[in-house]
Amino acid sequence: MSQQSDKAVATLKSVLSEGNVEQMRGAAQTLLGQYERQSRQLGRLVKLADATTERLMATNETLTTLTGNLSRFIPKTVVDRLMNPDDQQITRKDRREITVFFSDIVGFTSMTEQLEPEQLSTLLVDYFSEMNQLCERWGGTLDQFIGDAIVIFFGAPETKGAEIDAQNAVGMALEMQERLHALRVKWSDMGLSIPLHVRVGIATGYATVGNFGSDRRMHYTAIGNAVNEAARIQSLCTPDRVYVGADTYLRVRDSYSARLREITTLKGQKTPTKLYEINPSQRQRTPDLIVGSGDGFRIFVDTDIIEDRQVALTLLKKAIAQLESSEEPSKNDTQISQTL
Amino acid sequence: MTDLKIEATSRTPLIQLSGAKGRLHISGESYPEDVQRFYATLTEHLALYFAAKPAHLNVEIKLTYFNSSSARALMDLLDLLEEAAQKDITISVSWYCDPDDDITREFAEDIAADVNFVSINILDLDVAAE
Repeated sequence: MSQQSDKAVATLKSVLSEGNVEQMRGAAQTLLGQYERQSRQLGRLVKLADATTERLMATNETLTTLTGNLSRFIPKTVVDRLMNPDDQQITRKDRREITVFFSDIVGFTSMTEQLEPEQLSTLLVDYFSEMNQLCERWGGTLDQFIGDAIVIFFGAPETKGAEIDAQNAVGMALEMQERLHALRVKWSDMGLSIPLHVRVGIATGYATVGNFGSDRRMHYTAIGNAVNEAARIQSLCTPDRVYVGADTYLRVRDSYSARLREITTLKGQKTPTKLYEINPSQRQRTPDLIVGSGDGFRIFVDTDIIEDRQVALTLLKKAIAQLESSEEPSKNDTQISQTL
Repeated sequence: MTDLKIEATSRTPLIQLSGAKGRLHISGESYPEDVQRFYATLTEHLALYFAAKPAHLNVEIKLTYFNSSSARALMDLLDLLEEAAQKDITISVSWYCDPDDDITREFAEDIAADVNFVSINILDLDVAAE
């Protein structure tokens, strides 16, 4: 309440106890005037507050959309850091131990010649989307797509410790190869019979991590030998497998078994290095994905994307019942496989 | 002495009252920690200025942002000006609003519609210059 209103209330109280009728009338009129003024002010303030709230909600909606779109261009780990206005770490460059993942599609150039542009686009969108999803799930920072190659690093801007970072990189790589197997089944069902196989190289080492570029356009990336090493290990990798360098192997050997595949001097290095292949059977299977095929059957169950669980259950139960009731393939097998 | 100058801070506006020129200028952003206390100084100086029965006062408001408490203080200020204008002091207010800020403009328009003795002109604020 304003000083004028306080004064009007005090005057009225005083004349109510001691004043005459005329004084009471005067004090009441003054107070009424103050009441009307306050009421007018309150009305304007409520209107102002409503308009401000509406504007804030619209701004909030824009920010939500912007953040969503931003994370499609910038790694989610970097977006999360940018959302924190006090965090200066994102604007500076650090020397960090990171584990770098580098993958490349085998025979990509000939694949582009064999596929129609629309088919290639469908295939790549599917491939990159799935790989990006796994990158986010394992906490990696997607550095960049270089044509058909993917570069991801672990350990910056967030680190869970050098060992966990390396283990997450390997876990992600194994799951990517497994997911690719499922994708090949899916693409084959769509009539895209071109096999897509990937080589993966992983290396651990020190790199300078931060925003590089001009002050107007920056890219959060890692620069250092580990990045080059991962690319070179990848080029030596057997398709569908995951190769790691010696430093990565030292950090993951308690969690993943691996066998020595090669002792070689990588380009740009003076001393020979050991390359290990991670045992693919060690991959941490995701409970939401079932993939398998053989003569007379093919199965692909992904509970993450399945739309009608009831239809899926009915088909599976019918298939199980038929398999259990007959040792020989029944006449209806063809029909079920088509429906599946 | 009615002249007053309060320098702007990140939370408070620049306030300049010149008795000799009959001019009051308010510009910047307004969300002081203690709004009543901040604007009380201005109110006191204005009361002194009006007590000397001046012929006129030209007020210029160029606020790019003000919070609800400051809005209340502005309404009190306009009431004070309206009261003075009833005593034969010519008071004109030039209220500059960001052309993209409908909220402030509507607020100023509401106040302008309610006053009878003060002349309020709502103008476009050159945001880049502020």
